[in-house]
Amino acid sequence: MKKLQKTIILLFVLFLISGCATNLKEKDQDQLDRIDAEIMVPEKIQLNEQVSLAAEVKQGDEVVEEVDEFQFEIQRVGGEGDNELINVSQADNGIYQIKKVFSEAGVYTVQTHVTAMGQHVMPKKRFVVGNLTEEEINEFLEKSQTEEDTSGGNHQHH
Amino acid sequence: MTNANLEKQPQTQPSKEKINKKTKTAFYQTVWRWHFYAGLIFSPFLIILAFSGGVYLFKPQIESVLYADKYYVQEQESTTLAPNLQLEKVNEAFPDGTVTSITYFDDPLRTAEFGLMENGQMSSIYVNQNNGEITGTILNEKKFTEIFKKLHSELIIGGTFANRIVELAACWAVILLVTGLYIWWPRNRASIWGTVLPRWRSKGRIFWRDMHAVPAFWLSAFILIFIATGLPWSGVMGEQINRMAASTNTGYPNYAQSWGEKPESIVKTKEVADEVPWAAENLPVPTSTMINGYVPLTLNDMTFIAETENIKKPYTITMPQGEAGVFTIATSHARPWNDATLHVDQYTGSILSDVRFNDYGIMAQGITVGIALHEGRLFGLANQVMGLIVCIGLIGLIISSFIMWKKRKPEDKIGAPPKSKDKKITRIVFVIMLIFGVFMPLVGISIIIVFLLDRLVFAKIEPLNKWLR
Repeated sequence: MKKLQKTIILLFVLFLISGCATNLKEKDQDQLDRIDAEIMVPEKIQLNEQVSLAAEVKQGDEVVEEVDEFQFEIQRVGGEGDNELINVSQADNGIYQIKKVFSEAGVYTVQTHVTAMGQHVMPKKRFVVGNLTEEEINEFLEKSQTEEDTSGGNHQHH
Repeated sequence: MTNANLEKQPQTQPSKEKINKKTKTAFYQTVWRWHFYAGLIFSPFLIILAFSGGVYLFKPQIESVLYADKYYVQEQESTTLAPNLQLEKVNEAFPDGTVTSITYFDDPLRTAEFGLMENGQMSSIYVNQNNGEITGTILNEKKFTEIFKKLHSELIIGGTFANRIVELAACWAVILLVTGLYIWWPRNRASIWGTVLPRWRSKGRIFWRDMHAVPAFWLSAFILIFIATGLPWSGVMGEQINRMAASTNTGYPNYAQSWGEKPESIVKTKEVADEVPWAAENLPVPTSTMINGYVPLTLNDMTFIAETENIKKPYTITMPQGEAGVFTIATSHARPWNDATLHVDQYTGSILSDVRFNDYGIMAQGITVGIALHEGRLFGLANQVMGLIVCIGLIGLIISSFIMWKKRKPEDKIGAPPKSKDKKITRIVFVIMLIFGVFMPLVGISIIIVFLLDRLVFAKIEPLNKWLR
């Protein structure tokens, strides 16, 4: 009933409009307000070697201290469903870090799921583990032209 | 006028009354002539609009039946295939196409609809969400209801000119309503018969006059609502409405529409090539560097955002265009209060803008609700039936007016109502029409064109002139 009334009122407003108000332009969230996580991955990752994956949560150039939730999601591209979710509760000097040993060569992605300052961001970085041949990488690049990663949408972090 | 006055001037009173009556008759005749000519010219268009609109109203039901095998799956399974995997199936099946959007519907048995651009043509690919099987494809322009939509908005022939004709007919329909109501207005007889109820037992012109005027009176408010709610789409009036909304800040906020302007993603992929020293030296970039770096987010991430941001199905996810493009999650095809348009940074998933119905200005809210009403989706089946009654009623009115005209029309003439001899009144009505023309610019232009044609061309061609008058 309320909706009906609202509808009727709005329809009338369509006909009778007057007056002016302050500028209503919705500004998109300023680029500076947006938070982001800068993901740091070693340039080369060998098999069975312990490496650290790290990320820093930032707002513009400022490091964000108060992070409500931080999670790494690691996945081997092509390996469906075996994505690994790792919560990190403590930052060390603003840096969230995990140690990881990869035992299978291939192309991986690491995605960070960050909730802070009322925002949620989930940037994702891709990297190579082990010594892939040039062909193997090219083959992958070609494949990834037409298809994005195939993760099972495992967003259980809520 | 008081009684005392009446007694003082007993002899002037009747003549005044007579003048009054004469003026009224002149007005009546002139307005009727306008009503007649406008009706004669625009009724074919109005029939097209009413017919195509009446069919298009039932788009959901019609398409559900026509495309049942593509739209629906037999049973729902407990798990659905991840959106990314659905997308992969589509990409495999159409290697030359580009997926531009994905729409999810609220009916769990409904297939997902992938918008695909292939060889410059848009088509819809329907995907069974249980197993990624493609249930069918339809070229957008071949969609049954799309044909009616085109008929309704651009008379099939398409283009700006056809669209203007539609708007012109709709605007003239407003004038037909106003002039019609003036003619209908009970003057001489204070009877409900022939005013709000037809004189069933009368025959000939009286009967058909009642079959025209009485239902027209009942439908007038509804017809006006449907015209008014359709005008925001139109090229000229719609533009005016938009400008008015913008100038009063009662319109749509920025980024409110999925087809409009969009914010931009902060490009993250660039840095891969930018930061490494060999890129600057024009040396070949090692392939591992090409692969290492940020990658755009995927459909899975977007459906997750849609869920957490409480976007109601049916919603459409539009893929980013270009490296600075954004994902757009939008819903605007159900109840207007659920409208939402989100633009999402393709690399971070950051929500760049989020505009909901409540963020619209009051006028934009009115337009949005009006459009939903016009399309028959504001209050379900009752809304569709209301639209249908208006459409059928309008066609009926035109038919009864046609019969009425045929009964009056002499063989050798058009049978227009007689022209009033009172030049002053004719001029006053003309000015009133021009005032309508100010509010509805296309009407104004058409009046001026017809006026000039009448003076400069028709008047010169004696047989035509005679036939018209």
